[in-house]
Amino acid sequence: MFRNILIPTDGSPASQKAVRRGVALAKAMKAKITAVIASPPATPIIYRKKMPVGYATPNEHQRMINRSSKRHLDVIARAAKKARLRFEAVQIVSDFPDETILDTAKKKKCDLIVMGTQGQGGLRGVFIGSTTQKVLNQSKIPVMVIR
Amino acid sequence: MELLQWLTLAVFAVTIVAIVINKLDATVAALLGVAVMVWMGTMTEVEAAQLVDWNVMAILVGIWVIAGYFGRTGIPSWLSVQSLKVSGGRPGLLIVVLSMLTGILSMFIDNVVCILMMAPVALPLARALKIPATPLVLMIGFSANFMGTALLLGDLPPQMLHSVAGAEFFDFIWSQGRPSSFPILIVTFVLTLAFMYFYGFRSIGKASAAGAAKIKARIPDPLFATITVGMFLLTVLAMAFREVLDVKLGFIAITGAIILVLILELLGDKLKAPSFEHIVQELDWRAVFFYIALFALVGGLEKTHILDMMANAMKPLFATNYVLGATLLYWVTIPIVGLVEHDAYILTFLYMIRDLGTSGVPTWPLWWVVLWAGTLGSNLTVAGAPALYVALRIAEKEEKRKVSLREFLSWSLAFCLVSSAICYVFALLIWILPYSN
Repeated sequence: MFRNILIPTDGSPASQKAVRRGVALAKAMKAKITAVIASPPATPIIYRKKMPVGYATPNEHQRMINRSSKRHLDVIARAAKKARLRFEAVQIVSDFPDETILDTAKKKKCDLIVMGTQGQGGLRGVFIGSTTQKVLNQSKIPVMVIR
Repeated sequence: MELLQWLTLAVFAVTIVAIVINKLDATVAALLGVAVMVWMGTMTEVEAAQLVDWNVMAILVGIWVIAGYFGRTGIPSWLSVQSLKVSGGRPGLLIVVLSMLTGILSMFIDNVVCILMMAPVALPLARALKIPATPLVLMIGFSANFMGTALLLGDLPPQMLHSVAGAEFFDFIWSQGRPSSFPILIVTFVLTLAFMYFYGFRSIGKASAAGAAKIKARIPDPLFATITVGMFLLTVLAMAFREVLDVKLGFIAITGAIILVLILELLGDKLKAPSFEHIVQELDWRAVFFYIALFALVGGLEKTHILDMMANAMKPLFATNYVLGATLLYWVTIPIVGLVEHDAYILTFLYMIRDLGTSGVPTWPLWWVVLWAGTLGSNLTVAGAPALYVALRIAEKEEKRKVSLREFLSWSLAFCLVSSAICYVFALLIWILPYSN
């Protein structure tokens, strides 16, 4: 029924729960998995839960973001590999995760989005409730919300 | 306060709110505000026209026409490539040099025009050295906004000071026996750029002398460029010696523009120059009408003696503790102009300070304080300065993504706070303390 399932992640427990369910669903449907992460732009200020918490040069900050993004995407990559599913990872620089998810779904021709709710702030906070709500409101493809 | 004064103040406040919330076009809102004031009887339509400083409008239009031709000479591109050579292909240094170049150009050219000139030529350099477009274009925007106030020609606020206080070209370099806008702002600018280099640019992008060497720029028509730069310099020179020539600055600017147009039109197809019609179409007429309406609006407050009353209310603050008063004025101005369009605020305060002067409060330090804080504070958000809005749009278009407020503030807050703090120290030592007794 579904051929390409988009699983957004920010590494939060809520998004990891969505990863487990999304991969299980993809395995049942023999669908491809597209994982996406919205990485914040590398500025000298480091934010956590939308609050400035530290300073790093943009290069250092970029390395931190890349490491963290890769770690979160790798979780989905390993699960997809274990389930023997086709997999694609997408990392987009954006402070607007809802737009990133919707744009990626369109560009990668996904037919389902599986995402969590009740996330946290900062890089981990790309899945706060409002993000899920925005995706639900604007998505033209089905969205499965995992609680 | 009489009823008419209350009504005038209410119309002014509603107009400013309309401009700030941006639901209605700022120019339309300002013109509507003036029309309502005329219908209410605050002023007649003839008085409204007389309240506008047409000399300032002539300076704006004249310099914009010359700058319009200057932008088409290819000199900005050529200068940018020279910046690349000076930086040796080091990205952080290139950003600083390009910011410095923008700052220098913006002393003579309108801020928005300056960004529109510099950003398109800076972006190919950024691509070659893998510099993120957003911080680079924002730095160009901050620099254009910052240095526009250094001399008389680059922005409306210094021209307002010319209108209200009679500040001449050289007053922006040396005034009342002490250094004024140009030396103070240039030192502040250099120190701020040094800070920004260490703050965010010392390890940005990838140094590439080979990539830098590939980019070349040439001036398409050296004769056109020579004529335009020559006329530009002559006009600036004539403006600098306005008192000797004994004519208005606006007259000089318009004369310079007309002579340039005449020469270029007479040479016609022999030059690769844009047509006069094209240059006129490119002028920001919306901004011109906004400024016209702004003078009439603030003039309405002045005519009904509202500014007089506000000046009287503020007088005890400056009379009892001049340093505290000037300091408060400076630091209260910074966040306000960061959030609202700064020209209206600056013009209102320039008039108010003039009224303060009639009761013996020294005006020059306060005029400079408002001018500098009003300009430096406007770098805080895009709401404070139209130039930053233009810069932000260019960055977003280049990076094909939206720039969030927190990303913007990561750069603007540092630039704005550091430049404001440095400038405040100079303002305090050179202007406020010597006048405090």
